[in-house]
Amino acid sequence: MTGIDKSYIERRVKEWKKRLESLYALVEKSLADLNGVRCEKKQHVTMYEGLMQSNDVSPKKLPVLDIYKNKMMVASFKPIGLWVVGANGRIDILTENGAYILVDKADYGQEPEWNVFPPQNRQSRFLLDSSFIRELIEKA
Amino acid sequence: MSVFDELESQYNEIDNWFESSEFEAHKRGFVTEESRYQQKRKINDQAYFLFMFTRLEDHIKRESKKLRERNQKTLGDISPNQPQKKMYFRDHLALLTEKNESDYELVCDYYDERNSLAHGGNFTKPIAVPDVVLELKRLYEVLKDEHNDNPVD
Repeated sequence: MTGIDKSYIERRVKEWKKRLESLYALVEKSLADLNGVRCEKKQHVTMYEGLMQSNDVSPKKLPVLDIYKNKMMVASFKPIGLWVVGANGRIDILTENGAYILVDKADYGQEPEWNVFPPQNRQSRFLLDSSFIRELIEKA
Repeated sequence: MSVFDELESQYNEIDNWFESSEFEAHKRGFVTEESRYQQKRKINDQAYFLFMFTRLEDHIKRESKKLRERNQKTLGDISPNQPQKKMYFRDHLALLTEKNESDYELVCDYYDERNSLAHGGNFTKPIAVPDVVLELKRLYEVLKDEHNDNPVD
């Protein structure tokens, strides 16, 4: 693949971490005023995708964002992958009611466009925003 | 009802079932158990992707065959009467959409993943299954012999 080398892969990985941080910041901001709700980033997943392995880029730790409500974990944002078939990144929101699958449909370098596929109806999708995040946790 | 609906429904049922176990393990801090269920979900993604893509693949080959039989279009050095078994999948696809079009590129991306999965490639990617299913349904509708009066399914 033309133009793909170690420095390109490193840039993409760095940009993916930034996208995750921005998303987590949006989640934390959206939930900041909800009573009994707390966000925590104590757990990690290891990112070591095929293009990283084939271009000698070392594995990276990515934070998982856990949401607690009244001291019970009710949702967890878990990065699944950057180089994804059908999207420019995938994150799953694990909940008691199934996984909300988030996929970024924006091209590389563009502002993220997080599409949400809810577990109850994966044939529907909508754009992620603060009201969705609040509703998700309020109803949990 | 499309040819994908039943598979999609079953995929979602299994995914949500494994997910509930994954989330339970995550909450309890059972890392090995969590990884096990995450891996099960990944394999489920791959299995249903393969299953559903092959339906599109078969559809593309059938539509390409119909089109060639009526000698309406040729691709490069492929004659309209060339036996189907001697054509590559991308040649079938190119009869239904232009090579520089986004749909051509999209199907080729899916096809690469299909080959990687089917032949045990080292670096398979995660799959955004719900989004891919929407695209497969759309592609099934648009990638057709334009002059075909008889619906395939």
